[in-house]
Amino acid sequence: MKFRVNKKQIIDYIIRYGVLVIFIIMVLFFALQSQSFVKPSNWMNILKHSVPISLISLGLTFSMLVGGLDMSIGAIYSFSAVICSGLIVAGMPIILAIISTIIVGLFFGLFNGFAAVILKIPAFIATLSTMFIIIGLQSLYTHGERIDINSDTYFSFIGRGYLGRFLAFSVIILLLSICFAYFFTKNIKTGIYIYATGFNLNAAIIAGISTNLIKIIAFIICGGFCALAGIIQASNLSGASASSAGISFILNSVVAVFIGASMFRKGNLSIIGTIIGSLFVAVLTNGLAFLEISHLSIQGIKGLILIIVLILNSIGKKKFKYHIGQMPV
Amino acid sequence: MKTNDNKTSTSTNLLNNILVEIKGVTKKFPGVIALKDVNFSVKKSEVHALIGENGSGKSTLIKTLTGLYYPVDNGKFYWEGKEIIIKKPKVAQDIGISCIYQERQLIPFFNITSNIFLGREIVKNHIIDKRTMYKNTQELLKLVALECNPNDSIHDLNLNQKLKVEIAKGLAKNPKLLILDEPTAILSYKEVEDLFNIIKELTTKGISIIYVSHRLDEIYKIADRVSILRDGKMIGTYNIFEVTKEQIVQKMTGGKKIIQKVPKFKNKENPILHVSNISKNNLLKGISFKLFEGEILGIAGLVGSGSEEVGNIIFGIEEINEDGKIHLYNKELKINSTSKALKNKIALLPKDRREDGIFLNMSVGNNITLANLKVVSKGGFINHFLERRIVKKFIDLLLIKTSGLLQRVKYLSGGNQQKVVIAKWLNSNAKVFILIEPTHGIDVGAKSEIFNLIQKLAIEGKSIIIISSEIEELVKNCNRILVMYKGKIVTEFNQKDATIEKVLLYSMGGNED
Repeated sequence: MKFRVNKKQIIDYIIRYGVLVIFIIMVLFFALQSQSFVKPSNWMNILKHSVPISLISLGLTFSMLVGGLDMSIGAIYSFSAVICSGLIVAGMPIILAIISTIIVGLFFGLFNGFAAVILKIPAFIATLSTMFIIIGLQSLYTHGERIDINSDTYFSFIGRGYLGRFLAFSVIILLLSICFAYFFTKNIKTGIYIYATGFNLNAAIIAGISTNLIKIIAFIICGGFCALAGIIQASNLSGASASSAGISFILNSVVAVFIGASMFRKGNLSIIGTIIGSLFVAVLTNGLAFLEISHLSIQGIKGLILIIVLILNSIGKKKFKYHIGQMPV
Repeated sequence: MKTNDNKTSTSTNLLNNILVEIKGVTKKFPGVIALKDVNFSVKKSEVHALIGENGSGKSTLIKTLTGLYYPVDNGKFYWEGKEIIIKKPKVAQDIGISCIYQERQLIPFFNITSNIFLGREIVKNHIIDKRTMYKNTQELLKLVALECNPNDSIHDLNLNQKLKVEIAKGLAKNPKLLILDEPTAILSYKEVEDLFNIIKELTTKGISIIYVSHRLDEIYKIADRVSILRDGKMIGTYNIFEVTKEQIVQKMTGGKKIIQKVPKFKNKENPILHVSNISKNNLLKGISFKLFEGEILGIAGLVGSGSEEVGNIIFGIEEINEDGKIHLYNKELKINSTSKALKNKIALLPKDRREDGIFLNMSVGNNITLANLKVVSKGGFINHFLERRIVKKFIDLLLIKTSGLLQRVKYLSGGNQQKVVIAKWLNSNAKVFILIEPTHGIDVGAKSEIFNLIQKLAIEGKSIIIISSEIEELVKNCNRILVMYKGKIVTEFNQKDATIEKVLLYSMGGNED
């Protein structure tokens, strides 16, 4: 009997599950290389480390859905950590400091949205400028010095506390955020409109959706998630360094979002996809660290993976008219 | 006097059961008057066909009704006898006008339910009530005879199913008037029958339909009345059985007399290009024809006729079917890519030149030489003196109005951009030129220059295929015209037999019964 293989289907499978296979191979490889990699405590550790990048990637998913690659995510994240620490050190009640920091993040999102949507500056350039503005503000604020918080306050519980012996509190915050983002995009009008605006602007306009407002909201949400990630990081490190280390999160998050997009529903950006992509990046970072590979080489490897995912995506686009939101650039 | 008029019209509206009426509507766009003093009305629960040639104002008329072209320059709108102002799409939707546009308005990754309720989601305490929406969608899908789960993704549906989802989406707004703009262009025969059953069912529910189509047989099957537009003017509204197909076509063209000015071509023995048996599932059925040296061959086809696909297949943009063949100089060609077509000296001018044919941000010179850099290169390096000379030659030859060869193409007018595209292919030394809608979006003066150029090419011995829905231009400028309808070549005219009316009649399926 002749076994007929559908070429289209195979390509489809490679695109959809190729990354997943790489993921599994990667885990097996790390497990063989290092005993401690497979320990449950390491897994909770990986999850804990994945919290900032997952939150930032969630935010980025929203901005990319409406067609904007937000370059300022890392800067907002770093700056939020600094502001939150600074406010607490200055004696502001912790809960107020957290709320203020979130508001700062939302404000930067609003700023991005305003520049990109109302002033019609290409999102890439607009958010790049925001990024440098924020870096400038940060160095003004810190004067290049680290801000330390007293690690005894209950603020440190956010990033470092455990419920029981095993479950990190920050992971619970992440889970709640995922639930919120998922519910928001599936069951709330505004969330659905963000998808609609990204996928078919014309149809959204004809359906009477104020697409400009929706786009701005997506940028605002993005800023909010970055600020949340910054707060958790400030708590985790009991303060914030003056450096803008958060910039490297652009690469991490873009990789995470694109991996997620390639795995789910034919190139569709999705919350779940983004989270899986973030885990992928977290496992990769953690595993490579076990192999004692330098930070810079890790960046290189991530860049390589990003290119592979993008190539798979563009093949998919040609063959099946895939469509990632409105691709930036 | 005027107020009197209004009063009488209101009372007669009620008597005649008129749903929507527009009076004296004029709509101007920069450089064109799209609608001139148009009167139009639709009765309750009738199917009203709207026809006219390209650019006669059909879409403009529809878009003024749906609020996309507010404000109009003159005229009044009445809805069930009362004057209204349709400021934006939302207003039209609220009073009960739904429109299904030619460009599909669905979001591919959403499911059917989300698409149908887009913009009008049912919410309970700010949370979307999926269960109620699901149930409503089920009922709507039953109405349009679509056997799909409301949770199915649009991505997995075929074209016919998508159309039905669009109709369901239109019906979800409880419209009194449903506008269908060329809905059958891509449907198969059975699917069209299916659609007509749905339309009949809707009219029994009291819904009125405006049906825009080029297909005469369909109009006679489904419409109660027909309105004919020509050059933005309403020629008239007729009960469908009062007019014959020939009369409709005659009214569409207005019995224009034109002067043909085509260079004669003699060599009718050796076909340069011989296309045989090209098919494409639903769209093309067994297309075969020959093209001779120095001939200008027109392929007339309206929306959905498949004429553009023929060009795309010959040029290798779309895959050719297995038993389809293309012979060039009696040698079979396997064209599977555009570069292969170019190598065999076949060139294509796409319809959407701004997207497919030109590099807007590059200079006139670059655009012209890009398709064949070999001509201007020496030893692998571009010789800029040579390039300059060649580009200058083309600018003079084609009368391209530009401030210089360094000017960026995006600052040229539409007609001059088109000339740059033509120059580009001239430079490539092609033998066969395929032009798709070559005068699309070009002003009158530039149009005649383009055709002069095409004739010059033909005199030089090049062969040209013009694929167009502008029938008047084809009749004026072609040695021979093939007419396509629903994916088939239905007839062929020689230059001396071709008249606008005959070609139009055939391209609207007027010979079928």
